[in-house]
Amino acid sequence: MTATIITVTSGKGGVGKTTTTANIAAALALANQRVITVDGDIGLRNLDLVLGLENRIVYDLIDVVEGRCSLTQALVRDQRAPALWLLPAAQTRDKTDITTDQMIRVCTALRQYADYILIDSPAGIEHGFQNSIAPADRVLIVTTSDVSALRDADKVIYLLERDWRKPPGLVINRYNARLAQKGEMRTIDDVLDILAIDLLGVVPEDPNIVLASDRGTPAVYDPKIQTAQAYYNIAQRVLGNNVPLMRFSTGSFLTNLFGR
Amino acid sequence: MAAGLDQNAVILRGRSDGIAIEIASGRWEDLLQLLSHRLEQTDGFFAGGYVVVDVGTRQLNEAEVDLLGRVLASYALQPGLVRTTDERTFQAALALGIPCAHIGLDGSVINEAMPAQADDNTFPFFVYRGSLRSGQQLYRHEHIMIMGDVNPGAQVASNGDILIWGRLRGLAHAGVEGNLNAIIAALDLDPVQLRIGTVVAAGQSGQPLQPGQTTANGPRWGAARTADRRPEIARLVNGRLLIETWDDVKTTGAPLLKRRRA
Repeated sequence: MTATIITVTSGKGGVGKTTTTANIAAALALANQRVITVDGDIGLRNLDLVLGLENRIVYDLIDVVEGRCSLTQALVRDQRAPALWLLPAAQTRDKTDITTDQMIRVCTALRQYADYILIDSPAGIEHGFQNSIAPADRVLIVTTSDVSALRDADKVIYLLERDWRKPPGLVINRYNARLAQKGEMRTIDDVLDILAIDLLGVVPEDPNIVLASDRGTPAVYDPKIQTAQAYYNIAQRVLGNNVPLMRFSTGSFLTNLFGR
Repeated sequence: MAAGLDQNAVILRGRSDGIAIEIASGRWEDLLQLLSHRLEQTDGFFAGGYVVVDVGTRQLNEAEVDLLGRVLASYALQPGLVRTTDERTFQAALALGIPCAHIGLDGSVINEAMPAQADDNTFPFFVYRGSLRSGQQLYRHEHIMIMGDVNPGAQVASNGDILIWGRLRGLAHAGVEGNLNAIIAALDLDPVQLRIGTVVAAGQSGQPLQPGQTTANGPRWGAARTADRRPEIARLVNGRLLIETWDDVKTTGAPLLKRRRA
């Protein structure tokens, strides 16, 4: 069985691509899938930080491409999950140091070692984005519900339909149900109304998720972070299982109870 | 003649009103050369006729589609319709203003854009099925009819009218070449900007809100869908852009609909 390659992208930067990649990858790994994450953001690598694996990196993607090590040597194992690896990007190099063909070759070679390969795409729609999209079987678009993120996501969907014919799925990140219910922010329906693609999941706004990423422990590893359930649900949907959308606390009862 | 190319890679079939061309796989330049050779043999028999070109699953860019147009033009033929199963090719033909159809692998029509049947009294209509997304552009000399949404960041321009059976939330420019009689109509008219001729009007969507303020329709194009939206028509009256609901136009604006038999 060979792996399914899923690229996580967004167009706009800072909407949570890397955090989403790390958490979905870890959630898939905890569901007993063999998962390899690939950092496609050469020159601005972050995925290793969010996964907390920075100190164990010896080789990177560029070393593999330029023949300084074998593919398996460059993979960094995450000990917290049964089978989760990271193929790090080079921090010292540039997006143009790897061609689309080389990226496809590396990812194709990785297919035999995993069930799922998640590529963390850089922001933008240039070379690095195209390198990350080229090997993908599926694409996950991460967006928040704010106007610039949606505009950029819409453009990326257009490019995917026009140039790549890759079916995109949508993850709405940092969703604030309370503001949406008050009519001050777009609701899930408003977002879907514009983007009109399949919804894979909605991650509520929660500072705990941000803090967990900052500490190098993806939120799904921390049983105290309840909102991490959103990532388990997305992982289940990626696996093809039907899971209903999470219910969002919009204030009143839970807010009073926990004071947030 | 290109060597090593299957002579059946380009098939010409006569139709009652012209000619159908099917192009199989191979190098595009070689295929066009073969097509050119075939058209040479017809001795101008089909000149001026209607041409349907099926390019199959091939992915073509604007330059390659343009090359096809030139080959046909050199035999006094015009591409009447380009059929393709490839989205990129469809967009390329669209950008060149060549009528085109995006066909699914099962033979069904996914998308088509073509000038509708024109008679002497009307401008021809260009029909686009599907939504325009951010960054997408549609420019036509004819009237444009869009069956779908025009998203924020998308642009549509026509020298005639623009009719949108869906939501207009991007930029629409009717009468680009100076036709001040042009109108813009949509089921839900909520554009970033509207232009008719040289007149530009900023849409409600483009205006910054005060902190804490929401518009009658909620925060921009977000909650607008839940509000009471009616079909609206924009036109120029005394050099100013006027937007009216369809109900108002229907009762008082009959001249608007009858105007102009240019």
